[in-house]
Amino acid sequence: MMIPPILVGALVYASLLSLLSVGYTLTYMTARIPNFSHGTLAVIGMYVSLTAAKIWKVNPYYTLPLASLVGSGVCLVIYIAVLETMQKFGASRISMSIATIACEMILISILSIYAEWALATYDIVTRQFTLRVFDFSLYGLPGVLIVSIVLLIGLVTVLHIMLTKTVFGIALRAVVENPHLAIAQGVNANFIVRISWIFTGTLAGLAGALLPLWFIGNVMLGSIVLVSIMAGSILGGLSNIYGAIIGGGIVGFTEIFLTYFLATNVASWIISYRMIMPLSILCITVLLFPGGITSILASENIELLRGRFREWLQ
Amino acid sequence: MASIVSIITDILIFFAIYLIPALALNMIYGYTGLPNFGLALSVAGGAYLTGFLPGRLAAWIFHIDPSLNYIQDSVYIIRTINMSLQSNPLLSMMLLLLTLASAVLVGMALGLVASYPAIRLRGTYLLIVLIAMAEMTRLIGYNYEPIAGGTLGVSVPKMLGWLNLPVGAKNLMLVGGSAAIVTILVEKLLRSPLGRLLRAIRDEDNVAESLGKDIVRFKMKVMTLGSGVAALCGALHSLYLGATVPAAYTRTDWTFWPWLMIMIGGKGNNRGVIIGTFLAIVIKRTITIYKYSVAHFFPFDPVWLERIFMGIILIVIMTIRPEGILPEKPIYLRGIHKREKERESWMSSLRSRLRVLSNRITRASNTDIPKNIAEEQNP
Repeated sequence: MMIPPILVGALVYASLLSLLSVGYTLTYMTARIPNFSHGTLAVIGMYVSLTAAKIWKVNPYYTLPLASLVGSGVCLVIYIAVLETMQKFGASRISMSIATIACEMILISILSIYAEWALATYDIVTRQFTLRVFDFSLYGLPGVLIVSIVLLIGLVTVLHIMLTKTVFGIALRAVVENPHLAIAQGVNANFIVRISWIFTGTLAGLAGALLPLWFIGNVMLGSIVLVSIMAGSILGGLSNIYGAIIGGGIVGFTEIFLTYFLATNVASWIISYRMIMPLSILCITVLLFPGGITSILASENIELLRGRFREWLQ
Repeated sequence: MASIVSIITDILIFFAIYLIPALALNMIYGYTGLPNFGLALSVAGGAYLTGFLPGRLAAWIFHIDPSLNYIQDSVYIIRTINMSLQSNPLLSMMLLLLTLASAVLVGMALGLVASYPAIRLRGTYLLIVLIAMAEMTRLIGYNYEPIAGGTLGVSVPKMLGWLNLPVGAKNLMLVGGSAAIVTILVEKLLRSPLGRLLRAIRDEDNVAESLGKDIVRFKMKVMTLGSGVAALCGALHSLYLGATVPAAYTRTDWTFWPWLMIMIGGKGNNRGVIIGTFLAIVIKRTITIYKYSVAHFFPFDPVWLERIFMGIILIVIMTIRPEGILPEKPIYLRGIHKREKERESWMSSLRSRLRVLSNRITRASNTDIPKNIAEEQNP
């Protein structure tokens, strides 16, 4: 079976962006601030893959658990050392949002130091690198496509079961809805929030580790992808995990596939403006449908549209 | 190793350049409470205008071969323009003023566009949309060559070439003078009734609205004005560099850094912003200037240490001293302050007289009532 490379790219990117958007949404739901360092958390996973492949000579797929572990660890450190501490001192949400930009800057600097050190020590390409040669193939399909889609489906299933069937999921929903009431009911809100941040870091680490198996990796990729992540999350409704999965998928697929379609059918220069696509989706969604795709799909809105359509027919 | 004079000049130039967007942000966020995370949008707008307008205009004035490609042959064209401008101070100054005024106008136009989401959205949505708008501007400038040369950038004419002074002194005069004018104007503006209204909008916009103030119009005005000021900084930065490089107008450099400066110094307080900007620039430029002297100690570029250091400083300051080094204080107007003081002194004298009177009454009444009740009344 042969799938055009552009379609593979679009599907891989859409799957990984869905994972990242879910993480972004989860952190927004629990901390009520936009985490501007979220894209760079994925870059950490990317560099774990690079280290595994180029320095340890291990296939990056074997180090996926390590990438998720490192991602979740860093995410937890950001939450406990920065956001939780600031919260205790009564910092405003704006201050905490700026702090996440500072975290992004610190993480980019640490990753850049690591990249320069690895380049000087091991003489390997640490900027603008790809690990596509380490990917496997199954029935003519690239391994990263299969793994990313399976990972997305698996994690979505786990997330759904966790949110609806487990005590932890119910507690998490309670904390998101009304933290004071949840605490009054005996829920350890702090523990719940910390676990959700660990989960976010895990998703970012996994998505980041898979990215260089198809795309070109770079230290600054997190800052670039952040816009698409935010677009996916906002399209999904910002506070809706299922919406983030759909939003991330739509943004990722549109960004790659529509740009390619326009570049081949309209003008090739459009390819340079790829990032305008998620930015436009983001601005249009916020200004026209702030509730995101889930609000459009809400039953009452569908009924309203149906009613208007009937009126129009009559 | 750079001489001490050149180091001080460099620090002062960057202090003046960064003071302008920091003051603009203080006006937008510190005084009005609009979290403008898209400041880079206006700064980039001013810089792009400087890369686009004066060079083309001067090329037309000096009849430079129109068949030349302005972007690809920019080095040759600008060199020719610079030679002509050196002997024409009046035209140079007119071109400079036109560039700065146009940059402010472009910035104001961008600010007006950005103000539409700013008045409709709040919180996270507003932050994200403003960041997205700034990113879009950077991307367009980076990819669309005719504006400012795209990835490589474009040279900008030297409009102070006719002055017989060292380059550093000329730059300091231009940038420092502009920063001083902006500081005075912003301070005057924020001490005027408009400044007090902006504070009222920030603290409780419902109250301001109930007093008949059109808060939407004022928010739009502040966004527009602040963006115009920030765009002036973009123009001055390009003039200082002698080129406009769209890749330089990132959200870290032109949104995060001004935020860091007002957070360190103290928002809603221009003196605090000046101190915060100065401290941040001294640390930033000192590391940048001396990084090559210490580079052999590290297997990486020491500039990354500067970013880690500044990131940590910002987090620590926002955690332990969220109001900054110089917190905001209430503004007393001369007349009102005097009346307040008089009222205060009159009230305090009245209070002391009442206290004396009540003591006398208590003492007098204690003689008639049983001891235990008297103790209850005067514990």
